[in-house]
Amino acid sequence: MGDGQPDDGERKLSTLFKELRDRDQEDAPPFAATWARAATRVRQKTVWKPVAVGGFGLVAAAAALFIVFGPRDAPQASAYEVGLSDPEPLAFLLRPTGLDAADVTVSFESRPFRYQLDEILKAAQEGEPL
Amino acid sequence: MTPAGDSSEGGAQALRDQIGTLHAAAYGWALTCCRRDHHDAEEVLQDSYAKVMSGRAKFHGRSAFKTWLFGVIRRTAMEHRRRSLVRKLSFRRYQGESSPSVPLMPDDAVSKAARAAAVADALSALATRQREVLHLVFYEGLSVGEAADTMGVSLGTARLHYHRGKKRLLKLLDERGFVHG
Repeated sequence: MGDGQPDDGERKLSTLFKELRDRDQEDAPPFAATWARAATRVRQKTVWKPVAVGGFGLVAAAAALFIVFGPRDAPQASAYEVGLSDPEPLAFLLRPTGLDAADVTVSFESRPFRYQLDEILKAAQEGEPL
Repeated sequence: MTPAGDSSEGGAQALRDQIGTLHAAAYGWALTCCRRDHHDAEEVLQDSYAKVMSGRAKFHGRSAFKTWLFGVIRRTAMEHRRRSLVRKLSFRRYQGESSPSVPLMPDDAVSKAARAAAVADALSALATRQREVLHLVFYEGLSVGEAADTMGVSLGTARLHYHRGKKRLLKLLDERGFVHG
């Protein structure tokens, strides 16, 4: 028992565990029933796993397509186009795009920004510092 | 080596037969891995058999078949515990008093069933590894070394848990009047 000769405590525990084992064996579910339920689980997983994997694959593919081919900007309800004769004060708007500052059309849909842009344009046309 | 790795009909039948001979011991081990919860033990056992059947757990002959099967059950029980942790946090089950209401009386006056229930209850109060090593040594009759292999720990670790667990279990049983001295 454990290491070497069993001591008194180990002998007592052996007896108690034997009684516990006897009780467990009486309570144990029949092997055939447990095996049959396990087989049912395997069958269920065999059916559902491909469905789950396929579904996940479809969702992932749709997400990838949306990212690649989806709209780059939000839909524009009313495009606001501004032609600039002197776009220098608005150079900061052009910086990320790298476009030529000579002819640029800036479209924005957001109302607050449109208002802000109006002010900027007005200031630019009147030659006032921004 | 068993035909466990053989996927033929004969191999599958041999595997089934081999597990069938170990079923009672496997159930006892599943109980110990599930803190003596019979419902959880049945679930874990079914999951373990399903793993073996589907080939997710394969026997490669690196250890005794029983050691391997017990390892599968132990890992499955750990997965089961992890899965049910959230459920248990949400719906705390009533665990009951830690000691059964068995009166203190001489051993010969207490039925075997009551003693077995007291051992089961005291075992559930031990740490997992202590419970596991005591089960493997006293219930399955393995040496501490074999128990260490089954548990996937070093011999020194298994010995430590064995001695601490044995001392604590004897103390718990003594407090409940089931062992004396």
